[in-house]
Amino acid sequence: MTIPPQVNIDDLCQLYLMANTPRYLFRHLREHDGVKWMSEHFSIEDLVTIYSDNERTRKRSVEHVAMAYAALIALYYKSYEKVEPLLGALATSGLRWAPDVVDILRKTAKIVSVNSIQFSPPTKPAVISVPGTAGLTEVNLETKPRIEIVRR
Amino acid sequence: MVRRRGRVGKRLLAFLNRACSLIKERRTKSSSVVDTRRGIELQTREGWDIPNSQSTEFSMEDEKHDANLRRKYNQSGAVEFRTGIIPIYNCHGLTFGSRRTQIGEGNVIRKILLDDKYVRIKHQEVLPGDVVIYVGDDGDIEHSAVVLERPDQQLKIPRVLSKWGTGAEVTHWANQCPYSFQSPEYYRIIK
Repeated sequence: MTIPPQVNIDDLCQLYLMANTPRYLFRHLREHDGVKWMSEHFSIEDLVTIYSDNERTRKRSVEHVAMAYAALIALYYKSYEKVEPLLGALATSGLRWAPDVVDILRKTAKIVSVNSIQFSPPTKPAVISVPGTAGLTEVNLETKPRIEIVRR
Repeated sequence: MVRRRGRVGKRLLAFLNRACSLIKERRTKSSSVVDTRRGIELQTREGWDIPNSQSTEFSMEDEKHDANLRRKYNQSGAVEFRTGIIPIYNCHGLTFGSRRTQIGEGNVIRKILLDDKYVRIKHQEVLPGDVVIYVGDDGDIEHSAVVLERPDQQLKIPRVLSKWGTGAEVTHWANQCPYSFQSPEYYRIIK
């Protein structure tokens, strides 16, 4: 198994070994630079392949399991609409916390929607932070008299 | 005589068939990917079945990871590793399951605390033998431990015994570990 150095597999292994709960594992792997790197450099299909290859390895090492969870959790940063059809199969795969991680992925799904509100008179550009429910929330005010609320 | 032999023969045949199918089953299990969801019968005092798993999720252990962890956390000597990697049980399995299995969910721990009649203890009144749970920012009970020594006078931090995931058992100051110590809760069974 060739692992890019950017992934920092030793770090991922430690996080996996120290995790007592799936939420702990999810939270820490999601914020790990190596997992973010994986989400940026691998497609959804690549991540699923990495997950499957490692999960199905007969005599799994700690590295295999850590890589599998990392690939699974890296899906968090992908478009949920494209990931969602795969989650059912991933949930029933062989890793102990696969169902729990998939459940967390579903609950923290990234939703992209745009709402437009017209204001008059025109307002100056500004950034307002709006408390979001999950993930990031941005509000962009353009020079045009409208507000775009983008929820991520 | 012939009838008795016939009966014995049938029983022997049935026994041999059963033995063969058991052997086949074991061979299949041992050659397949490890079973990650097998648990044991474990209940609370009220008879509630505690979900648990004796994970053998990885079959090849690498002492390198154990060594890395020790190097990272034992620089001051205040953290003592009692064992190597033991994947069968986790922290909650040590605290609430007698080291027999992994207990993985925070809501399960709340149920155990309730059913087993644990009473919450104030920090100032903590005694050896009490349990401490580590509650993360999201409410997840991400760790638990058994108190070994009362909180020290100055720092108010007890010394505890815990299991770091599927890794080693460790004795440490309660706040010197990879888990959030922002909101600890102490409990004791008093009756």
